[in-house]
Amino acid sequence: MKRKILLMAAIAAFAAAASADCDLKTKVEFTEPRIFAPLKGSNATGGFAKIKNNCAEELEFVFKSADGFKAVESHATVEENGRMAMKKTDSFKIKSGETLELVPGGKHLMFFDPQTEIKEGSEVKLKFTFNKKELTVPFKVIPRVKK
Amino acid sequence: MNFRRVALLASRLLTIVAVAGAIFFGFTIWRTMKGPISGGDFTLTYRGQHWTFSSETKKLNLLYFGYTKCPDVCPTSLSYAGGAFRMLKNEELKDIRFIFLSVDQAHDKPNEVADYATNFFPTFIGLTGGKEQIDKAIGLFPASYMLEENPKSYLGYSISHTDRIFFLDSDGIVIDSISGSKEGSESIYKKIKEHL
Repeated sequence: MKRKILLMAAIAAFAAAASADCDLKTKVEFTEPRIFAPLKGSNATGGFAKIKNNCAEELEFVFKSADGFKAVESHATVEENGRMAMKKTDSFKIKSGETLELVPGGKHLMFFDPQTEIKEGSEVKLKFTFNKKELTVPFKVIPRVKK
Repeated sequence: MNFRRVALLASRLLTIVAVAGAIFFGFTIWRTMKGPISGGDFTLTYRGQHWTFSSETKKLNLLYFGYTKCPDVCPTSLSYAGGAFRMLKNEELKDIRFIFLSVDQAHDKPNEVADYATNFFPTFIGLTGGKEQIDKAIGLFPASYMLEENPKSYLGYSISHTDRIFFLDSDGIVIDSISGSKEGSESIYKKIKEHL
């Protein structure tokens, strides 16, 4: 029993050390991080990216805030009873070596009530925590409608 | 009138009845295979004014149900529809219109919905109305919506809704439909061309 507890403690210590070692800036890869420019007549918009976890351990990320927006959330669009529904989620998990795709019609980031003009072509800084460690990532503002 | 003439007349009459019966039978089978008829005329609000489908109907009318605070499925569908409209020629655009009907009666104001729809194409029409009007309109179509309260979210609610673009003839009858957010502009354009 004592040996088992020691083994578990060693595993926990190793996991904690691995987590501490993981440099989020180099080990978490964001591909095409983008936000659709807010539209006239709506106070909400969406953000998307591919996020690859190159850390040795699973990462749980929480979307905390975005410059220029009053509130942010993480959501997933799901089909239920023939209707499309949005489900708020507190966090997303990404296993080591895997990529989470935030895409229209699937898991995505949401932004509410812009406090300033969010211009196409500009960048918005988004704050996340990955396993409770903070990471700030710039997202490019792109047009929703291709003209 | 001799017997031969009567027989000939009866034979012709019988042929006409048989052909008419066959046409009616064929039509009934075709209608059954097509499924029940849905759609019709409806009245809502456009920028604070009464708006009736039949008043300025077009040869082809596309209809989508959603709400302006929907940040994912609705703008994706409307973007695809806008892309399809941009592929049409000017003379084709005269025969078609796109109607976005907001089911968020409690939060979407008529001017907001109208503005929102024009983000995607200048002629898109954004409508809303009282709950009774909205429910009556959506009840004509194979579509539905459900308000789901969520006190933990910033908006405090979300609305699940059918994600289909309905193709209506000039009487508002559904002649076709396509997924709004999954198919893309090219597929919507092809369907428009089939029906224009």
